[in-house]
Amino acid sequence: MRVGLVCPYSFDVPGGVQFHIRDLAGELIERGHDVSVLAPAEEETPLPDYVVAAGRSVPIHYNGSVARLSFGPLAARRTRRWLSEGGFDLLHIHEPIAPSLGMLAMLNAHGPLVATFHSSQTASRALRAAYPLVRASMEKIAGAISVSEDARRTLMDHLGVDSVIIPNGVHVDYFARARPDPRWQATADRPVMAFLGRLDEPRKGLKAALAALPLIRAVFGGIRFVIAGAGDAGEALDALGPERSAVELAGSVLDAEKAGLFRGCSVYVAPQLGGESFGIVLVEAMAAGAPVVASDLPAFARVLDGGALGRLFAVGDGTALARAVIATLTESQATERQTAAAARAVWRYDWSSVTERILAVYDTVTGR
Amino acid sequence: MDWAGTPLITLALAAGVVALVWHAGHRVDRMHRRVDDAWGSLQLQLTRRASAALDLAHAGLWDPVTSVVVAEAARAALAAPPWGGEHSELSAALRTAAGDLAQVASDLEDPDRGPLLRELAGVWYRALLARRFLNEAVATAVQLRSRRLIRYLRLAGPTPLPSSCDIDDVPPDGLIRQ
Repeated sequence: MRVGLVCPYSFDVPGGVQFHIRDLAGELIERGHDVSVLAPAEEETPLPDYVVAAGRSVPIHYNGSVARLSFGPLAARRTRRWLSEGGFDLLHIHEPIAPSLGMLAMLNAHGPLVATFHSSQTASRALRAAYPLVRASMEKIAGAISVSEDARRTLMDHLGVDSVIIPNGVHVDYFARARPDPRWQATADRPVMAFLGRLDEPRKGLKAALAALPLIRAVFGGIRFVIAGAGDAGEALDALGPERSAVELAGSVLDAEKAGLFRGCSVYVAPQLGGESFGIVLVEAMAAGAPVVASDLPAFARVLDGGALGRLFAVGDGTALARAVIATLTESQATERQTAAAARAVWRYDWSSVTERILAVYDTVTGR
Repeated sequence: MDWAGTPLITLALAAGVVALVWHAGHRVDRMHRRVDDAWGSLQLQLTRRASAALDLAHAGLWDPVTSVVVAEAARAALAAPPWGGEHSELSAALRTAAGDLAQVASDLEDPDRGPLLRELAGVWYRALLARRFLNEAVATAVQLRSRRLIRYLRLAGPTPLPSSCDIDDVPPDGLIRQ
């Protein structure tokens, strides 16, 4: 099958949607399909050969993050040319209501069309604003996919469109078999608490984790808090005082480093405040066997099966976070049970099963 | 007042109205096509499900009574339209034949039953998707056709209002991991 994938966000900077599309393209190609990906990217950015660059993107505040979006006459022209020259059996657009290539592709699409909706909650204002412009085009979507129950509800409540849920994929084996990174390997007297996410986005919740640090340190004096992610934490770190010595900034990490961090750490914390639709990083940490402590956002609670596969704490509550981390480190038997159950549960997110389900949607929509 | 521009304005307004009506008609046509395609796809997937069920019934993995019941239900489903109650009966027969969650889980790993059961799971999932997508298309088409412009100008033509497909396609516990 010849499949055209459309990515709304720039390949110049990493992000969940971009990784999802990159991995999906790889899985489809491995199964013998012919794939072309249209994505915003600078001409100079090194790209896999199946990616067609739609030109430069502009950083815009969207859905609580800074997204690099592509729009304007040049992007529209390139999208139309890619569509007409592509000869696709099926078009699969990601985030068709983000004001970027996805929307441009949807407006110009003909033939079998699948769309995946990634975002939830906070995108609703943007959704409502975009809806009158794209309502007619949305009628072309023959198969709508949401990556989580939360994304599905957002789509249902705001646009009245029902969708099937197919989660984001993870290469479970990759994380399960990674070697712990010696830089961040926990030891008996120096446990490692890991955080991953941009430092300068308040909704990633780093503040709550930092607030918890003194309480955790009171019990585990040797705790190391490893923060992986790009961006500038600003004054939050300087305000820490004596706790600053427990914090280590790893900067932005590569996939292999991320897997190594998860494999060696004592606990992974996900203190996000909202705007999370799925929680792919939680699944990656679970696949690597790391105990997970996460804020009780609906999306995270679902991934952690209501707390059976990790510990949940009240959103934004540093004290509750500290208590959950301390419980994870002290109640080792309960923690082991949770991580063992989590390592089994994550297989439903493995790319092998996710790809099969996406291909089932393709077959249904193309009538194969 | 200068009336010289009136014909031009009238012409522009008329062109606007024509474009609006044409666009609405195009949308209705497109939705009708989507509904038709979705019925076609559902028909295909339900036929495949019935064939997979027949294969299972003929494989000698079940007791004779179960095999006969499933085979009969599968044959009836093969001859039925996609909205036929025969598909609901096949679903019920397969749920009883497959057994409970533990049975399905162990059969999926069984060297003899596993491949046939996984084949059934694959086509069943596609049938579930096809019906979800069909009903979503029907709901969108009905909503579109309720718009005043489309109703008053009869832009939907003689095509009857599409109706949803309400067959029972609940799979056996554990057959399809959602």
